[in-house]
Amino acid sequence: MQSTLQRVTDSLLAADVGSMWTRVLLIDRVEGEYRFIARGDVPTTLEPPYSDIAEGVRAAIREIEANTGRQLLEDDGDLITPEGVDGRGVDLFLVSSSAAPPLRVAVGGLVGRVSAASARRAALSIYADIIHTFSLDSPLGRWGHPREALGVVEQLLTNWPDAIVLAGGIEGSSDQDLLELVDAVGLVLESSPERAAPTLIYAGNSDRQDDIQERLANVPLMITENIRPTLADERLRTVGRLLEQQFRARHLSRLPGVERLRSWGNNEIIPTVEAFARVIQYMALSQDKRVLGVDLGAANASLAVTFPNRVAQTLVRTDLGIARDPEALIQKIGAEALATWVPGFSTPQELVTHLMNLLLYPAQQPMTRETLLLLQGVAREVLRLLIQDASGAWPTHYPGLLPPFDIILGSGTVIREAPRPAQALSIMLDAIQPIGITHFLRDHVSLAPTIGALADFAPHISASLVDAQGFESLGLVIAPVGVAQPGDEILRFRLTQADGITEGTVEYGQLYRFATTHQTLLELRPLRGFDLGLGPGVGAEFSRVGDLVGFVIDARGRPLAFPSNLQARRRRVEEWLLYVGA
Amino acid sequence: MLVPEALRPLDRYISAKTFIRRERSLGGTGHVLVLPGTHVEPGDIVAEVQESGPIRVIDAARILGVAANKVEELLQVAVGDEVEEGQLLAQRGRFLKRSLVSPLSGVIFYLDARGRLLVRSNPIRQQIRAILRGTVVSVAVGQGIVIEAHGALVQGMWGNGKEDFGLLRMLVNEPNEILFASAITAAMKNTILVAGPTVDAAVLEKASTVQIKGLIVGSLELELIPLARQMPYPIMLTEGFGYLPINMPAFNVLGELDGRDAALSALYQPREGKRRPELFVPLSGSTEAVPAGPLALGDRVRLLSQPYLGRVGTIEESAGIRYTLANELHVVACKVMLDEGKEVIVPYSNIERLLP
Repeated sequence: MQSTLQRVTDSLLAADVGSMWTRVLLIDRVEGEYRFIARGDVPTTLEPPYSDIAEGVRAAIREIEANTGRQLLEDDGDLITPEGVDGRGVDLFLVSSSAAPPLRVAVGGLVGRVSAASARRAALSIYADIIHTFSLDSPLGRWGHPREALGVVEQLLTNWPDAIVLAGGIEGSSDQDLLELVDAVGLVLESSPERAAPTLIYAGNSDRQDDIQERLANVPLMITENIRPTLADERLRTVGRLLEQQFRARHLSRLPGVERLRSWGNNEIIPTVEAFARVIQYMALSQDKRVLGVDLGAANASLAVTFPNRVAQTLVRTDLGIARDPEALIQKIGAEALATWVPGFSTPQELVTHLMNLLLYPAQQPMTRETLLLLQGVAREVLRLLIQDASGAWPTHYPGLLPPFDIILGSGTVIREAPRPAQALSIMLDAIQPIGITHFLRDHVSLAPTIGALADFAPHISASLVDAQGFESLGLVIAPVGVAQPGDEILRFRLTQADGITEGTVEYGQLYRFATTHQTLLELRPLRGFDLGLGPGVGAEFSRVGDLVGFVIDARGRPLAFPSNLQARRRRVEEWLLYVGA
Repeated sequence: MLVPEALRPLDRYISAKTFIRRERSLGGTGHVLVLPGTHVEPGDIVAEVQESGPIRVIDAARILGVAANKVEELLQVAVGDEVEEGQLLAQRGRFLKRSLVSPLSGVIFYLDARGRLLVRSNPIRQQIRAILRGTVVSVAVGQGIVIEAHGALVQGMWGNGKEDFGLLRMLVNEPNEILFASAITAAMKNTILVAGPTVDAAVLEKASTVQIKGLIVGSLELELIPLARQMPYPIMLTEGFGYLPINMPAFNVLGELDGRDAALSALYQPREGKRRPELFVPLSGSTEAVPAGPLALGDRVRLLSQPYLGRVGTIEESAGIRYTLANELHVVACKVMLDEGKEVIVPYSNIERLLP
């Protein structure tokens, strides 16, 4: 299959249908290498009066035709494929999408912070809304309800899910309580045979499998490996895969217009987050790196992450999409927290009013600096919440801190379209607060879904696009870890450029930037046992050229410290923006 | 270069005379009560919906203190029977009686092998009114109807989700005039009121007391939004949040409609104006719907964001101008002559076209 594709694929169109924007990219082979040629962006046409996502894809392709002078569509609007000798059409057509409604999932486990939390994480690895969470130790009562298991029955019957995930009990444990919940779920399903049955997944203690099969004999049930075989071990992948299949079958494949798109390419439409995860996985494997990717979209915020010897993990938060429910999002963030990042508004209230008016039409462009910084502030807070949610399960040698990442890739409108590359970098730096040595990239043309969609069956094209700098290199950030007082010297540096050598020291609490417009060598020697991610006191040198921002030494410490007074906080943020060139 | 599909601006009707088709959707289980071709008045009931009520589970075996398989023979009702709240369902024991009563009025719909009863409360019947004066042009059985109507249409920015109809009454003489609670009297019962840039909580509450049928106002402070949602009458904000006077084109049309029968639908679906709140006033005389094309020279537009939020102007140059804003963002823009006489360049995505 792969060799056939290698032989025949010269050109391709890749569409990514988001909830707000539909983007189509034209990729072509130039001198043996695959290159991004043109992009078309139009509003997504999922809602009336169109109610057909293919309309938007067509409009975006027409935009590419207008920009390149190359005919891609027949007069009747169908795609010309394969590419003809006259250069009309393309060989391959791919679609990814994040526009389908999320899967509605109920999760239950014995302990809220253990099995129920793992079940939730597995569900949130795809586009899902958690509509019920049940656990024995819920603050609302046993099984999250004052009426206990009977309350669960009432809740499920009133608010019907697409899928139910039950977990609980480490391997070898003898807890019987979960059977009570299983029994409740059985009652729900048996009493309502007329309703489309939710997918029921059991991913708990394997010793209970027989009991559960017996109690749910008349109900379609999937039994998988224990999602939490020990307290320290978590296996999300199988449950995540099963739920993804359900999401595809129940929502993605039912998007209006999807059949037509499928007929153009003979390929299944893939969830954008899955495509994004494949890019991160590809970068991690091909370069043997720890990679984190973040994507801040209109309807959801997502991340994909890899660790050595593990498959990519994803987290999707549909409640953190900037345009999905602005009122609820602002409440989650808090006006005061948001105000920290935005100068120019006299009160947090004024700032929130401004934001709410802007988000009445979220496709608007920020016209002033204040509005731009406001949206970037929202992006920081959304990203902070996303990382906070995901990072609890990440393996790290630095207590209370993130594990070091070699590469962080940023995607999504606010990051992609930040007019200054340093703004994109500082959004991610302030929100993620990575440690050690991290190369920051941004997906400036929205290539990630395409690369990911290709990764499985045409990896040579993915590789070609990544190698051809399909992502913009923002810079190399060095964030030393250690304990010091503001003003203490924690690093010595030596910067060698064509026009000379600069030496100096780095003070704790400060942020530094060195441009790498020309070849630049940066040598660092930690003081006071500070750690660059290589071990306490171990120095390093880096040589780079052509990064859009350059070297950034983030000596602000972790977590970032803020004054309690809002005006003082804003002054500090303004200084940071200035230092980093944002 | 951009193609016309990409340049379709957001459209907002502020029209003294137009033609609309509106769906009245059931949004649940129910049935339509009218036929295609029926003329409907605003108060006519066009459909009935049954919203399912809560479900209760009763652990009958435990309450009665019997084995699960004994529950059925003790039951004085059968699965499928309707029961009343408090009705005795089962009883056992001669001296120390154990009784099972229904916690709600509804139907017993399931008894499981463990002796648990499921009771579904009676569905809540809701009637859907036409709201518009017009003609039913299509009926989708079990789903809803489409009504066609001719008249004036003024669309807004945000609504509190309610709808109703009544006599339209302007309470201010100019967009900047503030309406106070003391100006609202019992005589305003059953009317849809037009206020100024904003109102306070006292106005919202007084209006509720006198039973108005709707409120149109330029904007509301954000902290009043939860209260606005609680009000029994529809509220439409024509501009947004904060302190923003009703735009002049809308204010003028509203002024012409003062004293007429009107329907205010404050249903609102966020994201790109997919569903806008709107005021409709039926007027005789038929009008054809004119499909709106791409943005054109001379089109009237309203600007959606700061620093020009709420300003109205006319398109002077509509071709996609590549432009760099003061914040260094590269955008595709158009040139607008504001009514106040200033020429500005604004991104396409930040305007809405006002359709007359």
